[in-house]
Amino acid sequence: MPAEFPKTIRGIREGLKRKEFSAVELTRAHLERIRERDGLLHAFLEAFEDAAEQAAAIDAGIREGRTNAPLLGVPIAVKDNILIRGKHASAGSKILENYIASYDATVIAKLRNAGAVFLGRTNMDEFAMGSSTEHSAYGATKNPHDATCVPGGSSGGSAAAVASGMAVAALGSDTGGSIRQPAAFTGVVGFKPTYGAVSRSGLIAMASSLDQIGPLARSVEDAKAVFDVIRGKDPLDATTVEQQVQNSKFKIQNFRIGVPKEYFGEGLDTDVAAAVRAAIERWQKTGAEVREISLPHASFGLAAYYIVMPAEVSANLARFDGVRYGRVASGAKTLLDVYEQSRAEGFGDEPKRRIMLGTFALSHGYYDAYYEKAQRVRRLIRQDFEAAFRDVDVVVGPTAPTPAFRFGEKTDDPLQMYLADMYTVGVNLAGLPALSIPTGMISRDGKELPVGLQLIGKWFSDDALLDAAAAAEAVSVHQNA
Amino acid sequence: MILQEDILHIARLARIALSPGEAERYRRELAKVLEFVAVLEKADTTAAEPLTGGTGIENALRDDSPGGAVLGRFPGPGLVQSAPAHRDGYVAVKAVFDRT
Repeated sequence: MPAEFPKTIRGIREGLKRKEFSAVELTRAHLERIRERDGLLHAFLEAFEDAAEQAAAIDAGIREGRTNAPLLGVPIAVKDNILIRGKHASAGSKILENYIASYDATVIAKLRNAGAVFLGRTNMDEFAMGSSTEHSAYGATKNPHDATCVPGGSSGGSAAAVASGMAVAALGSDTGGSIRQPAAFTGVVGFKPTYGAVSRSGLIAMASSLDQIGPLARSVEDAKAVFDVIRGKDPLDATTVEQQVQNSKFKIQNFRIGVPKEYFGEGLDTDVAAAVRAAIERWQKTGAEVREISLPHASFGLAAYYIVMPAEVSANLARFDGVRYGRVASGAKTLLDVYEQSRAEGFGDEPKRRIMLGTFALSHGYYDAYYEKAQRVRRLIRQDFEAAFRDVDVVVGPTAPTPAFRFGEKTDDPLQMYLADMYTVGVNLAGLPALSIPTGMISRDGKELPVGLQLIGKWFSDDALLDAAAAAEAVSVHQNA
Repeated sequence: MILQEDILHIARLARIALSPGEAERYRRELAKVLEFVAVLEKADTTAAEPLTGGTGIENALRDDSPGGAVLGRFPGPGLVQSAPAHRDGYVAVKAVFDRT
């Protein structure tokens, strides 16, 4: 973060109102920071040439007294799967390398109205498939804490941009953990709203019953500031619900924290477990009540997810056919060739794997045993959370089973990569709101790596969850890169 | 136990061309994942109806007109231009039916 500018959204708004600096100066400082650091980190696929121009329009408004916009002049990075009219959007894939968005995503239109400046589009695993950003067709992004480690994924570029001060906040998308896990790996706040709280219109779809757009930021307050702008019922997304904004003051006394015993079993790194338990203890000391709970079907979450999600993926990616957008295979003779060869050339390995897995799960003879079975297990997972939330107000645990891993460590075996999502997928299957907040660092090979604490709230309790997270944040220990 | 012919069948359904080498590699990888997800057989789902996700909202409708909030962001000429092949405002495609 450039030394002379405020680090928070509140600070930026106040500074701009008091004319301590201009929006153009602020944006230029961030573009300069991108020039300095992104050669190494590769968080951005493109820094927008018109970012300073966007900021100049904000300054013109400020001169005319328009200083109330909730994200006035705030420089924001946008994940490559969210459409900005007139800009490229490739979802980290070669099949869309020439695609230019013909409309704004609803969240983009809202952010623009709120005074935000779009700095650029950030790197991601191809079609949001991955937990490390290593599956991007445009090269990997590095973790700002340790350049030999991944930033997590699939919103790795957005997380790295915020963690390294190249952007004040960023948009990501989360289908099975893709906002929360990279937030944990890079030491920032990552929030996935309740399914239906934020419009998916203009988000390149991965799995339509699981996807949500959400913010990454350096504090819960900033994440909430962005969420408050992007939330809301949208006529263009029939799955959105109008939420009543809850304004009741959070009270720590008698606040009930549920810790699932299933989240502390096999596969969890001992240092991560210790850091998370320490965080829960600190929170308990402020007056909260901690209870052990059980989510009996938690261990089925990954399996259910890796059937449901690929099934929806196989339907959503059918539109990339070499005819409508982007890239077409040369030399294709028949229509079938156009389809088969364009998709063979344009998709990377992971999208192909997941499309085929999903096609299999939905195919005749296998539909009941795989897809329908997974949907029934999804019901059980949801019921586990319904039962839990009768006894507790928030469910907490580690966001990820390990800290950021090394490049290449999990790419040989797809299954190894999938295990990184073990604590995050259940949230998407149930449609709950959840966020990861940084909660300390652990030492790995001479470097300090961040650890994330995941907080899961009840359906449509996003405001209460953010309040609880702010309370946890106040007693946490973390550092920014 | 997933076979080479299953992979070729799936790839044809998914409209993705595979080389023989690729088919074998994906067969191995998919076999591993299917082995992993087989754990679902252990879940007792007799009392559980399928959950397709979402919010339980039904019949969420809107007027069939591009007015108001929609109009400002209605896809314009850019959409046809996005197609790799287009002519006179139409997307160009290869013949659907072969003449044989």
